[in-house]
Amino acid sequence: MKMSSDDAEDILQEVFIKTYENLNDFDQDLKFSSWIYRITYNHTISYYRKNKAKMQTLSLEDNEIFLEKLRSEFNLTENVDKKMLKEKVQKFLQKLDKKYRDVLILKYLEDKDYTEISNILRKPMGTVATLLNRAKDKFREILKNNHFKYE
Amino acid sequence: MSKKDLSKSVLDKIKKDHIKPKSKWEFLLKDYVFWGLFGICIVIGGMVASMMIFKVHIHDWELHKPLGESFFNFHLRGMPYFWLLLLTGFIFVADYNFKHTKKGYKYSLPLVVLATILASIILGFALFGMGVAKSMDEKALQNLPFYKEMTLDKKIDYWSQIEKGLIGGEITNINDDKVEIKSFKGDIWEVNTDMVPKDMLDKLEEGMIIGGFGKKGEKGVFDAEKIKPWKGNFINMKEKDVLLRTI
Repeated sequence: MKMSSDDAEDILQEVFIKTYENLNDFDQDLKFSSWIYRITYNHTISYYRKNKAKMQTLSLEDNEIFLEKLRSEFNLTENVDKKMLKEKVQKFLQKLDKKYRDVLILKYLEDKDYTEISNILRKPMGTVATLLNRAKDKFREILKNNHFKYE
Repeated sequence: MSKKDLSKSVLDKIKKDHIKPKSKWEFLLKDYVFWGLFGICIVIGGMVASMMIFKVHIHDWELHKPLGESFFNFHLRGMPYFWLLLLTGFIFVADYNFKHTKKGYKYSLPLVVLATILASIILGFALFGMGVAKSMDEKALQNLPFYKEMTLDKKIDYWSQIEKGLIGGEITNINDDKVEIKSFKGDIWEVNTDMVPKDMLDKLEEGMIIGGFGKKGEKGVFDAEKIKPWKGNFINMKEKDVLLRTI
């Protein structure tokens, strides 16, 4: 989703405060980054639910690396310029169920491994692996339905 | 807003609103509550499983023959589905509570459900062995009329079909070749025991509730082939608090 920088700052500030409040709940077995990501993820979702009307769709602006990772993972061979590719991928991701979009973003945009994704989403590792495989299949299906070239 | 400004605004808010980290015990308590609820679900699941074991244990496996029904049709109808449904419910409530413990999310639903079923069954056998299920059944028969209607009364109806070769009641008198029975309907029957194996007869005593297979003979006489002590609890129909002798 796309939000104004004011929204992002509000969320960031609240996340830091929440993190401070819940410091004693931190599990030493987790990476601190996974834990704070979980707080951010949950807080952002609840913020989105409250402010659905003013939020925009997912944006891939400034996410060149994410785009490149998707291009390489799905062997995207469509001969279009970067801007158009961005727009198309953005549109395709938007078509995915939230549960599939979340794992794709955590894996390819945030570069998280399975354990971290499991800790962030509070789902078993096996479920994360299944979700990721299904997300890839669904994404390929969308590419195919839109006559998008990939190998 | 720069990083420095953001840090300042966060620190200012913490100071201004006197925000403090929640104490560790708050989180521990929450975790313990879910563990406690999970434990309670396992114990209740164990009690329900023990009732299921008890119901299967006291089930009359030969009853389909005189009633002319197929084994599967008759006994599938008589399985303890209510308890099975209750056990299923508690297993899923247990899973919900376990998933809400600090690390519960790491385990998959099938694994948690399987572990909960196993724990309930093991506990169920232990409670059944300790007689807890029998006591629970007694209490339910004495205090829950609908439970009595659905279990004991139904069983009594089956054993009151003398025309079909089934007799049930209390032994009022016993001698070498005859047993006198007061049936569940209150009639006195003379039961001819010539065909009944001796080891079965040796187990019978006056005052015992029994169930017998055989044929209705001439007036007031029942020619028995098998007589077995009543399986499960039996409550005197007039005085509901009196439990009669059964196994």
